[in-house]
Amino acid sequence: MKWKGRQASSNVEDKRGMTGKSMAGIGGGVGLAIVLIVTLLGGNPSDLLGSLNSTESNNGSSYVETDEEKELAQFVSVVLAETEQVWTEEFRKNGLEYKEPKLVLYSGSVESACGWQLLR
Amino acid sequence: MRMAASSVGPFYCPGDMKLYIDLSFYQELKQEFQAPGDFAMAYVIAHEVGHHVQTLLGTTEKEMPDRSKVGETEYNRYSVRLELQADYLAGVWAHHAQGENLLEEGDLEEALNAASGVGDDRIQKRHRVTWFQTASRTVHPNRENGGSIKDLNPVI
Repeated sequence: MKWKGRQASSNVEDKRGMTGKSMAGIGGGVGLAIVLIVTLLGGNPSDLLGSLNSTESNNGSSYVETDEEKELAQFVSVVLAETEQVWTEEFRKNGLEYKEPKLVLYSGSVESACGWQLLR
Repeated sequence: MRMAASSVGPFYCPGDMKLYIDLSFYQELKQEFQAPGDFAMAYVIAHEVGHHVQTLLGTTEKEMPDRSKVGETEYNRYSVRLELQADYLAGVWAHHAQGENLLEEGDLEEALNAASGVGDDRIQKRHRVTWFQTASRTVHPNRENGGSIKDLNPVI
């Protein structure tokens, strides 16, 4: 595909190198119990969640991008931008608005809002 | 939030309207699915974007039954329809890319290899190729259906 030099999308979220562990790392039941205890003791559970999330983003250093992956990430971004153009136009022709999706790049494992309800 | 591993392959989550891709899938396409080339990867992205289009148009919600309420056979029948329509929508994009003169020789074959190689046993892979090919060769959704992309609905 002739893609070099073409516009890249601004909708790429690069989460490569993150382990994806936050509350999921603690486990639902235990996590809930901790939140409950913190609340009962008069604390703010969102402080706890915030600190867990910040640990997540500090793990980024473990990932080293190869030259090939760097180019591939650019390619993916350009293809996404091309789909945005096409579908924005198709939706517009039908009087609809195309809401651009985000694209998450990840390595190993990732958190999403989906369990089995994901589409492949 | 739920965890998903790379072994799931690229996916789209209607719940947060995001595509999830581990770039190592590019190597998998080449080595495990015998579908090398950048346009094979482009097809995969366009297919996931197809699921996003379905979600925006309300097709996903309409066609995706509650797994706890229907049997596995019926659930699979509907999800196969969604997969094939996403292939068709990927083909619509490829058709436009062709019109923009972005394709190089062998690109469509790369996408067709990916369409016929990737997928699980529920999907008859020849159908994937058919739907992608139909759209990428000739079809413009508006002209084909004499109307709206809202009417896109593969019959299998």
